[in-house]
Amino acid sequence: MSPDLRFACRQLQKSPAFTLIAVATLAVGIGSATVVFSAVNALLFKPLPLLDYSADRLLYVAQTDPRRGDDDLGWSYPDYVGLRQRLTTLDGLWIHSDRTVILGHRLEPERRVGTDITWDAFSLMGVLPLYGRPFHASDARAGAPDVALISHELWQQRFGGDPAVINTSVPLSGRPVTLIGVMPPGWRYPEQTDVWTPLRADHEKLNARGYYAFSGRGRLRPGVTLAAAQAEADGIAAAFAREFPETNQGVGIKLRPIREETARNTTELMLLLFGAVVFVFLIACLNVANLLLAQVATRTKEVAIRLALGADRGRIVRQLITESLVLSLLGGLGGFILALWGNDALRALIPVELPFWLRFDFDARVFAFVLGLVVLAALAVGLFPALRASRPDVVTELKEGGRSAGAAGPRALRLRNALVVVEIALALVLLVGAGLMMRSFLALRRVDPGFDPRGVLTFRTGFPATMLAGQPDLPRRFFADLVPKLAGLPGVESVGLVSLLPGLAEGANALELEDRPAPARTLDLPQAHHRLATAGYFHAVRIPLLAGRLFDDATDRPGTPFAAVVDEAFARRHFGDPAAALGRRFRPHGDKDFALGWIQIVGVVGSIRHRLDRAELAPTFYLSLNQAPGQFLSVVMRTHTDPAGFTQAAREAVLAVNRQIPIYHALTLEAVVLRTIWPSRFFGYLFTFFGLAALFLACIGIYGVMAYNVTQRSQELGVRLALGAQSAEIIRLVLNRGVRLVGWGLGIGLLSALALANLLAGLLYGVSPHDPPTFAAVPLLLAAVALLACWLPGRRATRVNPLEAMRLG
Amino acid sequence: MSTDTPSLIKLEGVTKVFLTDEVETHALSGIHLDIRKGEYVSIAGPSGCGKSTLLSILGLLDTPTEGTYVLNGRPVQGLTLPERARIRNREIGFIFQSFNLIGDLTVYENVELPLTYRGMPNSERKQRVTEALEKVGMGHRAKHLPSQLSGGQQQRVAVARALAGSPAVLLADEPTGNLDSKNGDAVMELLHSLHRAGSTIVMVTHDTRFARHAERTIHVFDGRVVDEQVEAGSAH
Ligand SMILES: Nc1ncnc2c1ncn2[C@@H]1O[C@H](COP(=O)(O)OP(=O)(O)OP(=O)(O)O)[C@@H](O)[C@H]1O
Ligand SMILES: [Mg+2]
Repeated sequence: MSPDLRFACRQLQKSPAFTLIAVATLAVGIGSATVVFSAVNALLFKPLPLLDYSADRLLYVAQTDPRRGDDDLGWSYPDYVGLRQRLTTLDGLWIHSDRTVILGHRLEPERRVGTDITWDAFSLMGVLPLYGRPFHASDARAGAPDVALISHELWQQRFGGDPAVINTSVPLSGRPVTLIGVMPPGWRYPEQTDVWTPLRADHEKLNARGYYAFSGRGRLRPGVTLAAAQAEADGIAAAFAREFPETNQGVGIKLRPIREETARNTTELMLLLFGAVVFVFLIACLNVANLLLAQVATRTKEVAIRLALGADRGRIVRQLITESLVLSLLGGLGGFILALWGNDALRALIPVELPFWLRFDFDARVFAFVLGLVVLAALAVGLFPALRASRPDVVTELKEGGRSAGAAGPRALRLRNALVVVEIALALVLLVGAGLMMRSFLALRRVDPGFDPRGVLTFRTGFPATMLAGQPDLPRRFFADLVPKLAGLPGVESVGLVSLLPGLAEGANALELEDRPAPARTLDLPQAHHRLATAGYFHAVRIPLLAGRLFDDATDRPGTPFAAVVDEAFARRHFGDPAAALGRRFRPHGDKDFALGWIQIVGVVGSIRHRLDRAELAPTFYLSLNQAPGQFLSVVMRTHTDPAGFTQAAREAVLAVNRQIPIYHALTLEAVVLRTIWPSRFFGYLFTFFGLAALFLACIGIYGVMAYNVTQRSQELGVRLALGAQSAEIIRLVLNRGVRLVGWGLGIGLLSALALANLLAGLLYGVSPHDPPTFAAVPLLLAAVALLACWLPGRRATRVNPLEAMRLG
Repeated sequence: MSTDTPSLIKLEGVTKVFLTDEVETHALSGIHLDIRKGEYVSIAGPSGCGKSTLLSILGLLDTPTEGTYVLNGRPVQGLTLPERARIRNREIGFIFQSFNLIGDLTVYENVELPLTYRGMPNSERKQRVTEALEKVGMGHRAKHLPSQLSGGQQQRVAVARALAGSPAVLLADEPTGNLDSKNGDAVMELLHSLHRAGSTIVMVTHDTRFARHAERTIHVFDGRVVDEQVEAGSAH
């Protein structure tokens, strides 16, 4: 152990309270920053697992419609084939499409995510099965035997990790499929898939140009720039537009680094959040620097004597920096432990399953980050005090005996005051951010979604197409049996079925309205969401009927003209008002899913917000499940008591109707709704947490400075008391300085917050970035807490014993 | 010593006991003291005998454990803290061994301090401060900071501060203790002239030379008054 280190440890042991506060403060700063960095790292920097090349080469490839501002249409299969044939700048291009699969095999049926994927995709990515074989080209031919790869996780959970399962046949969605291999652990491409099947030439969605059913990825050829690849793709898109004007006019192709795509909704927020914790870290450093300055001030006399005796200044700086390095190493250790814990807390705040590539666990980058912070903290904390202490005014310090009271180094005082001002400003900015985010979240929660999510249990169930072989009526019969069974459960008020739950904004359709001229381009047709539902659905989730009628199974029978219930937004957009919409007809453009013909509007219901974080109400139409049956449906059950308690009964009811069918996504409707706005809550919590941490640290900082101030001035305060100053005057004197610091801090903080709040504008719902209540309440709160932190030492100052105080002078 | 002038300070049976770590220190034991308006009293005695403690009680900086204290005809032992602060401010002027000027304030502001606590109007304060500084010969240094003055000059400012409020009594605890003999002489001369002009002064000093300035010297030993002697040459 070097003498400097030994002396540093002894110094820190000598004042355990100071050491504890300093280490804890740094731990909070470093811990907060590390938690957020691990998230930023996971989202933006960590490579995809199992890839042995830079993830920068992986591209997200999508068809786009710039004119409608849609930069991700997905892919239609014929366009993908054309692109793959012509493109030279990529050495791999593949597409996939997710679907639900149902695993049989001895146990209860279980639902998993399956993915149809270009047969050579994994080979192009360079990820091969751990056991068994990859797909071959022959697996993708029409009529080839059914084969599947499974994830290591599924293999462990469902098949007990038994290698003998490879090359055996397993019922997958009702069809025997041969498991040809197990992928390596952790591989769930593209997000949470457990079963991969080759995209086969007889796939039902393959031949519709203009039908964007697939998601595409590609890999840049080594040495090729993204710009070059994009240029080539632009040329090919232009060629498509000439060759297939009806579908491809104005449709582009966009290549993006995969990270940019996968993180695009959160990158901005993550960076903001990262900025916030950098603030917290800075505040922590400033605090400790301040504490250390105060500590060192008590040592200036000693240092002055040493310097007078000829000590070398560099040596003294080194000594003090060693001390701060020990402090920040301890703080780093504490911060790391806090971060491990915070990381778990963070994940607990995310109510949805994360894609396989998003891993928050700490890697070398996180360790390097912590070490970097430790060094930064050591410098930030130690340099000021070290430089100050090593250059005392030797003459003044040694003249002590004849010195008058209160002369406490004006330069050091100004520095410490400035640090406090900056701390308060930083805390204010953070708290304003937190306040805005929380107000936005609350505004989202207050929004009337147009339905009543309380007291409703939902789950999903249904039949993959492969289970319907020869009996297309199976789902209808199944649901027809299921609904009365569920409705008969004690405590269930009403039961309904819907193809997509509220909260999901998917499923938009282009429409043609009867007696309206059609626009030249498909993409310019009016759009509406479509849902299949029963009348019970509207009852169960309490969507009000505004005009006409709901579905009626006796009237809206299969084989009779289709009836639609549209929502208010639909009716108003196209017909002016709800009543005017009744009797009007429309049809989905292209109409490939179901041959519907003209659909007549028989009822108008209230609009619901499919996404609670969006202001607009998207026009929606509902078709009767009796006329347009669905294979997979969401069941909604309004119950008299806690809906979550009905999950088991629902599962049993489903199995009683069909032993092959699992239920999944069993959640209360409230939980479903919360899932759609969780990022807003998540980031609101984080900002609030870090804002409070900043507030707490700032208060410790103010308290420390003011308390130190009082100690430094105790002689002066003693004199004033001896001369007859009243307590109130002493408190006012102490508070005065505090108020001035707080005032400056608040002023600077407010201006910065006004400027920085615009960064949040895109994330806020129903709240202006310059929301007056937030901008009024936060400074008030901060001022109150800060003044309390000043008042405590002021109060103590009045208890100064003038006799003792003056004797010390 | 004239007995017809009214009593300004009257201590009866004043005792002060400090309790530290279960040890009782009897700093003062049954002090009787009577000081009249216009007197110049010095308190002498060996180190630790209780001189400063006595002065603190006189200055209402401390309270006696037992006994009564009547200042200017008013018993003061039962007063609240704010009342005591008021009396300190109006009736008493302190001069300390270590000057105790406030380093951030100018000479002028230091002298002004007790007057501001009194809520005196600005113009009157100005007049009083100027007068007090003139009296101690520091009028030309009003804008200086204490650190820019010599020890003797600082003590003269401290005297001016004590004077400015026209207190009933000036209390000085070894006012020359931190000064060389030349500066010490000057401060003593200043106190002497104040006395001649009518001020009541109670001063603690080790220095027998300076003690002779006083009309009356009270000798304290182990917390008791053991002897009083009256300087022949200083009598009225
Ligand atoms: N706050 C205190 N707590 C405990 N004991 C005290 C306190 N103040 C004074 N004493 C004790 O009371 C006694 C008298 O102290 P005091 O300061 O009055 O002496 P002094 O005569 O002024 O001495 P010196 O001439 O050295 O200044 C001493 O024994 C001292 O230790
Ligand atoms: Mg003394």
